[in-house]
Amino acid sequence: MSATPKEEILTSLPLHFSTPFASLYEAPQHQALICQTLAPYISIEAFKEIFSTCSSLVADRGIGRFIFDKRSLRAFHQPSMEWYFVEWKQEMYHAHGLRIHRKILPYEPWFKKCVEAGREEIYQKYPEAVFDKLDIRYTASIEEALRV
Amino acid sequence: MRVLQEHIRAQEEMLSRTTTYLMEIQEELEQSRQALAEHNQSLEQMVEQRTRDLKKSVDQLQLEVQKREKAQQELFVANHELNTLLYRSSHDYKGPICSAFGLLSLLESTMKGVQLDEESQQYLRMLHTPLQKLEALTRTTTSIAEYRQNPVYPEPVDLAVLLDRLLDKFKQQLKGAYPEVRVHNTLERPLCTDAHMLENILESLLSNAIRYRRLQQGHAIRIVLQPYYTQTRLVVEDNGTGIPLEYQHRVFDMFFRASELSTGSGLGLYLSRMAVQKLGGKIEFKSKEGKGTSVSVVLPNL
Repeated sequence: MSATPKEEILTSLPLHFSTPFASLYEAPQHQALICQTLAPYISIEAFKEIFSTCSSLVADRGIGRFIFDKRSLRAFHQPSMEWYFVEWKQEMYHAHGLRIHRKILPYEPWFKKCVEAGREEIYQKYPEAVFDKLDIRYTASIEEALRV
Repeated sequence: MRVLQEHIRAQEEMLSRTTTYLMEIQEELEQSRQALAEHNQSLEQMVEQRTRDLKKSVDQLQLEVQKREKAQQELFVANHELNTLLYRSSHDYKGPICSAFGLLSLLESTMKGVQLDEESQQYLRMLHTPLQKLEALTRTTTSIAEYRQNPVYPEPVDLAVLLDRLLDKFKQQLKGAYPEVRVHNTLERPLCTDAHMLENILESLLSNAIRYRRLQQGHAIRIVLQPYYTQTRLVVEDNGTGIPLEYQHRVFDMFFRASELSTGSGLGLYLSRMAVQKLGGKIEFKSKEGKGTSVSVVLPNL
C-alpha cells in the first residue's frame, strides 16, 4: 500500500510515533522532526491526530525544522491541507518559532500541479497569514531536506 | 468504505481544482502571449523607425564626408600651389640679388680712381646692408620652401667636423668680436640624418647665440654634443641678453622678434623647429633675461 521509499537514514533515527497512515521520526542532530506519510489517502481525523502528536514533539523537543514527506499520497484532502497551512503552521510559528519547513512531494508531475493549485487557493483565501515569514522549500529526499 | 469514498471525493475535488487552476493559468498565458505579440509589434515598429533614422544619419554623414573630402582636396591643391609659389619665387629672387651684388661690385671697381664726396661714399657703403639682408631672407625662405617640399636625405654626419666648419666661418666673419667658445663633445659615432638640415639648425642656433650678446660682458658660448639614449643631443648655451619671460612662449613663432633691436629675420628658430620636427627630433628652449639662453636639440638616427 505504501509508495514511500524507505530511506536508509530513517533506520538510524528514533521513531516516536507510527500509525498505518504516518510515522514520526526525530533527527536530534538537526533538531528536525520528520513526518512520513504511509497511505495514499489520509482522512482529516487521522491527519489532525498525527499533527497533534507533531505539536507535542515540536514543543517538547525544541524542533526547529519540520520535514513533511508526502510521497505516499495520491490524493489530498483540501480542508486538511487548509487546516495544516493556516492553523497548524501558524500556531507552530507563533508558539514555538518553527519556521523551517521542508516538503517532499510524490514524483508525479500531475500531483505537483494539484498541490500548486491547492496552495494558490489557500494563499488567495488567507492573504493575511504569515506564509512569507516561513522558510518553505521542496526537496527530493529526507537526506536533502536535512541538509538544505 | 467511508475512507474510500472520501478518497475518491478528494481526488475528484483535486482534479476539479487543478482543472480550474490550469484554466486560469492558460488564460493568463493567453493574455501574456497577446501582450507579448503587441509588444513585439511595437518593438518592430520602433526598430523600423530607428533603422530609418539611422539610415538618414548615415546618409547625412556620407554627405558630410564627401564635403570634407572635397574641402581636403581643395586644401591640398591650394597648399601645393602655395608651396610651389614659395619655392619658385624664393629661387627666382636669387638671380636679381646676385646681379645687384655684381653690379655693386663693378660700380665700386669703376669708382676706384674717382674722387667721390663723403656722402656718395656713404651711400655706396649703405647699399650693401639691405642687399645682404635681402639675400639672407631669400636664403631662409628658400630653406622653408625646401623643408616643405623636399624629402629628408639621411647620411652619416660627423657633428664635430660640421661644428668646426661653422665656427671657422663665424670666426672669419666676426674677427675680434668672436666670442669665447667651449665645446664639450662626447659623441663616439656619426649621426645619420639630413646634413643640409642639420647644418641649418646648428648655424641658426650659433648665429643667435653670437648675435644676442651683452655689451659690457665677456661673451661666452658653450656647446655640448652628447649621446642621449639611442639619439644625439646638442646644446648651445650663451651668456647673452636672454629673452624676457613674457615673450618666451613665442620664440618659435614665424617672424617673432623679441625686441625692436633684433636684426634677424624672425624666422631662425621657426625654421630650426621645422627642420628638427622633419628630422623626427625635439627642440627645447630655456632663457633668463640678462643671464643667457640655452637651446637643446635631440635628434634620432634616421
